[in-house]
Amino acid sequence: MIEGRPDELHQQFDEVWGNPRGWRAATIVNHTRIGLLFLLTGLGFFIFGGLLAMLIRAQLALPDQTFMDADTYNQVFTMHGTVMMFLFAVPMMEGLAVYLIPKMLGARDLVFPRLSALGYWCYLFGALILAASLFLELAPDAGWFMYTPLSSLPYSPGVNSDFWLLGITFVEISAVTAAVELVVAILRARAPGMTLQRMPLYAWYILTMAMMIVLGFPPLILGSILLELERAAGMAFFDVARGGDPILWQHLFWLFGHPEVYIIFLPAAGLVSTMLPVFARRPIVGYRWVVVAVLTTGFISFALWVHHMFTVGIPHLAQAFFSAASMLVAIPTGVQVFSWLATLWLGRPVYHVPMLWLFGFLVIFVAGGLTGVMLALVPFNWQVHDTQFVVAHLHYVLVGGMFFPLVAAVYYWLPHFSGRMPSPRLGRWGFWLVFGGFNLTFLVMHWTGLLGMPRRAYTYAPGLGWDTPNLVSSIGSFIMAIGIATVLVDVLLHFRFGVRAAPNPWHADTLEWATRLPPAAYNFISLPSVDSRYPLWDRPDLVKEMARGEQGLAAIAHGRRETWGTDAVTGEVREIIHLPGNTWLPFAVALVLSAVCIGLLVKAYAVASVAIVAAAILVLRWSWENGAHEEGGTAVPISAGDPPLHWRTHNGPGRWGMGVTLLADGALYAALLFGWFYLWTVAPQWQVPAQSPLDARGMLANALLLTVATLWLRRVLAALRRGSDGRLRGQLAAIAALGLLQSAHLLWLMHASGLVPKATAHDAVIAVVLGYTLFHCVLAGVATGLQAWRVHYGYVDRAAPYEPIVLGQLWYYNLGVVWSAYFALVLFPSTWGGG
Amino acid sequence: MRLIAASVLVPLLVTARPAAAHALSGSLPAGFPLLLSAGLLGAACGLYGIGARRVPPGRAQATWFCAAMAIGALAVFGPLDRWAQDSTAWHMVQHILLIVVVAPFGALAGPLSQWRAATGALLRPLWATILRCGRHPLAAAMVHGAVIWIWHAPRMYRLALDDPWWHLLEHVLFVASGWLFWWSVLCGRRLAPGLLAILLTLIHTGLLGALLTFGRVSFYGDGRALEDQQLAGLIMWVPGGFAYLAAAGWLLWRRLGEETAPAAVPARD
Amino acid sequence: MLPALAVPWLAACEGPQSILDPAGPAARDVTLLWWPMLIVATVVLVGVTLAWIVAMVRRPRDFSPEEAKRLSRRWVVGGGILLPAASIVLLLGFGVPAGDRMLPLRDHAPLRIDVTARQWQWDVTYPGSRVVLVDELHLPAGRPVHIHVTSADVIHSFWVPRLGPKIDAVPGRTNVLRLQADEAGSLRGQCAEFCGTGHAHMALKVQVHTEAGFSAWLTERAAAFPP
Repeated sequence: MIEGRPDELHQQFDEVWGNPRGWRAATIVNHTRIGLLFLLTGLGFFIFGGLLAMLIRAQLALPDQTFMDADTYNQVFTMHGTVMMFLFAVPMMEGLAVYLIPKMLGARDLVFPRLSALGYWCYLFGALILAASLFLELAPDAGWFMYTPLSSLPYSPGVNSDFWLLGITFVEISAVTAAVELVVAILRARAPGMTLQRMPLYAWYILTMAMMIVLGFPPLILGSILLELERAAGMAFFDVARGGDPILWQHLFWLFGHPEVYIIFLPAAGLVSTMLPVFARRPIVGYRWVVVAVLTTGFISFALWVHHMFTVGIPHLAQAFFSAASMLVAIPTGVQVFSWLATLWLGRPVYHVPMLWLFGFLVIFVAGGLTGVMLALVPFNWQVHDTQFVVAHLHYVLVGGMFFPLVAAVYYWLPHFSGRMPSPRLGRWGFWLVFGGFNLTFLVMHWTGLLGMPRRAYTYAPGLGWDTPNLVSSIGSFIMAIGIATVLVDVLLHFRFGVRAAPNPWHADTLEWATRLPPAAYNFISLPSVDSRYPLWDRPDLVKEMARGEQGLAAIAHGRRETWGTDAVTGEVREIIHLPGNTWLPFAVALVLSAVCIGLLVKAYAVASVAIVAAAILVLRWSWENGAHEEGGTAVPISAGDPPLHWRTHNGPGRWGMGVTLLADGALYAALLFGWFYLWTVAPQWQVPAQSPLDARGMLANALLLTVATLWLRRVLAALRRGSDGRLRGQLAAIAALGLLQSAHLLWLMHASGLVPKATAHDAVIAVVLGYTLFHCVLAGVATGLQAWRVHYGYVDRAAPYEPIVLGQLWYYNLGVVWSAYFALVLFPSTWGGG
Repeated sequence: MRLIAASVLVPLLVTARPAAAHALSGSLPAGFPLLLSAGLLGAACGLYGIGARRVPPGRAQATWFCAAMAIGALAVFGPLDRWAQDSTAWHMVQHILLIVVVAPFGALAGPLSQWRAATGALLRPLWATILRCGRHPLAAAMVHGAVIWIWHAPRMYRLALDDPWWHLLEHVLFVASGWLFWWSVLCGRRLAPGLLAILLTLIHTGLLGALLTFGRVSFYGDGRALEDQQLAGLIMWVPGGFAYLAAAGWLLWRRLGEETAPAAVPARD
Repeated sequence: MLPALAVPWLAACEGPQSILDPAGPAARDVTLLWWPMLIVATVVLVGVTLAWIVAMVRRPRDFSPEEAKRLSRRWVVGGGILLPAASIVLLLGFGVPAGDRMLPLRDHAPLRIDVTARQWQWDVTYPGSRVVLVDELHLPAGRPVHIHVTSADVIHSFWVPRLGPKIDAVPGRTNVLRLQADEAGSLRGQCAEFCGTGHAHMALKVQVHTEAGFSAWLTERAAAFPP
């Protein structure tokens, strides 16, 4: 505990945590800045997507218009959906979470700041590449779902679809990295005493959202990789004649696509659950109910993807089951809605501008949810699927469920971003224009769909009854656009004319209001311990105590950026997390990855290869600048009685980060194996060669080789945990060599096999599985070699055993991959047939 | 005391008659696996009863145990077994009962204390190993998952159909791996690995159910109807999945309720 | 009075491709599901909206902890669990049998018509006859027909809204759709799965004949095709 004047302390903290200006700003890794960058960039793409929507509505206002021809329209509507879903909705929600979560949890930053920075730059560069495609008139034009075979090479010969596949995958890196960050931060970097039960509800929502991203995005990443391989390298996955199945794309896409909509809705519902109790001036009703409802929604969402495919020709029995399952998700949603209503009912609500937007959210989202339940009913779905009715439904749930809470959140946290209060008058005008305009546009659209108008049609014939509804929708969309412009103007003006905000202007209960307004880069001079769910309501003096340095971790003389590392469930302090400072690495890696993306796009494979190598070098350098390396020595002064620095422990955030990342990786691999089994059992013209191209014994030997190496590593790690590091460098080097030998053997097996990926889907999938395995084994080998080198430098030893333990997880994962590949590719085919 | 006796006798009685009927209907050697199953079940109950005299179980636990044994006996020795011979869907029902009803009920019954008391020092290493394994929900989930997928490979599945010894092995592995999984998840102390293990099991059983549902041909022989297989896949996917959902919800509910919720109301202003 | 109000309403539902203007039993079943769903959904939406407004507007009162607990349980369990659960059971109770009734028939083999979708037209053939049509479908009224749908290139979707549900045309697969029209007349169908630049214009003219008229048409049309 340090006592001092807040200004002096601020000076000292600012020296360690401060953000540089000018072009050096690209080195900033602090979560507040990164979060704001996500929000601003997301806003930019929202406007871009909105302009595309205006073009669509202008085109559809009248029948038989040719203001845009079919080709242009197809690019515009594909980009509208793609931009809104990938470049606005998810980054915006993640950005807000990146900004808010550490503050709400009483921490100074997220646990892997460089990773969040990397996420942002990948998002920015990927988004710019994708946006550029529209200006080059080469934008993706196969719909945001990119169904095969339309998006396959024969029917989309241009580079348009490649823009989507490469650009979006690049952007998804940012989604997954932010998700890993958030999961580990929420689980391991909370305020001391903040048990799971005392965590703010928003943190539960974000934890669920992040886990859903971790498990839900990889199937799409896999699908994109497969489709791009099919387009660029001629491999066969979705081509019927060569043993593929276009419906596989739909399964992979919707395995992602259904969780995606909850990934967008849940954080917004979390915002509602945060703001509503503050304006009702009482804690939320049914905290436990809401947490269980949120997690249940997350779990269920992975099982429902088939309801987007009711008209594809799936078995009839499946439709009844999925109808029921899809409707069930209305229950946890209903629990949340009624919790909010009960909170208002039992509280003493006050009216402010955010409440207006929350009201709009309730009406529009509930309406959308109700049409969703209707859509889950199979016979009704068979009629309205792919009509304007669905377009209306999705806008109700997305705009109502995400956009309205977002605007409410912007108004609510504006004093936090800028230190000034928003104005009520213009905000009210903005709301009514948007609310009225939105309903005029999309309520009528349900009707248009029921009158039989399909979606994604660039024009329509007169006399089908669609003329008037479309005109009304288009007029409504212009009103809505004016409303949105009003809101934007309001927000901009407040930066100049807004009244200075008092501390905690809304009298909220969560810790983010304990920072200065706007917040300093380090959030809090000292980190609080909490003993209740509503820290600022229960202990009003907490804010002052924190600012005076009377709470925890107030030392800064050592020049380290630190925050508490706490237990996942009990919130007890386990370690001090030593956070990295500003660095060029994330920006540089993102830049090089853009070169990879562009190189692949224009088929300049030499450039792409060089860029991949450069990226690998940078990433390995990044992994080098860790732990003891940052200290320049092994003896690091910490105050007596303080917990250890994280890189001296066995179970720090890095281990969790690796674990969560491997979950994402595993989801991708599971989707790949699913694809294998699926094609085997469902593809209409699946071809199995008479003799398997794989050398069964060779594969078995390969798996055994890896097993030996992994078990050896396990022994080394067990010894490290016991505090013994005898011959550590030698052993790690030998294990690395063994791993690389196994990788070389695998490469040789691949080469020697008679695989012809371009000829059959069978061979193509095997090739991808083996390639995936190879990549992971090489990665583990190289990283272990690097570890041996770090032992040499003294960065890793029995006092700093952290990194090898983290790496061990990758080896176990690889072992699982290799053995399951053996079972799936070698043993399973031999069990098929016969008997 | 009476309850404990009932919890032992009821399953035994339920088991005895149908099992005897099955065993005696065919020739005796063919009936051996079935008799062995009955024997295993009887041994489980018997040991439980003996151990219950030294370490009395709670009422709830005794009920779970009795229910697990009864349902298990019905599933394996009742008419369900006969229907399962010809119908993939009924076979799936039988397996689902074993994996998401008998196994978790057994786990909740926590019979290890009773079995340990009954066998004394003899099997102590066995119980110790099981206890140790039960601390790793993720590992248990992976073993359980491997067992499930291996037995659904066409050749293995048909092997079990044709040969009653393999069938017995299949059932034993399902119940044992399932028991360990559910025990590590429901009775474990750590919430995060437990929830994660349930989520992963939900996902992979869903994917397997999906494959069975969408398959274009019958995996397990031409004699079995495709639609039946589709229904089997759906049963595994949806009602099976529901069990995992319910378990996750219950775990979370229980964990969150353990601390008294501080009801703070902000000052009036 | 009510019929007078209903007339413009029903007129608004009319349209050559309107789902709410059924010309066959399957489409009619769907409209019978739609109107009650709309009414219930509206009631729920209005109820929830009113609850919010009243809660905001009314004079706040203090609740004792027991009262608060009781009320909150009523709201959360009653509104959040029981209300959706009951609605779901009702919906499925009516919806699943309706869906079942639309499935292709198993026992007897009705008239079979083959449709192959391609960019951007419908190729219609009548097995057993030499007739080949493009963008045209002729059906007899009053009895079920099985449409066997496939695609020659990308995924399309075959849909005649006034008759019934749509089914996707997927390359490598043949999906079967059962349709039945009530009486003779002209209908319109359209491709309902985005299939490229010609998607918006991929329409289908459907002509329903009486039974006698259909046989006559088939014979007459077949004569135009060489053997």
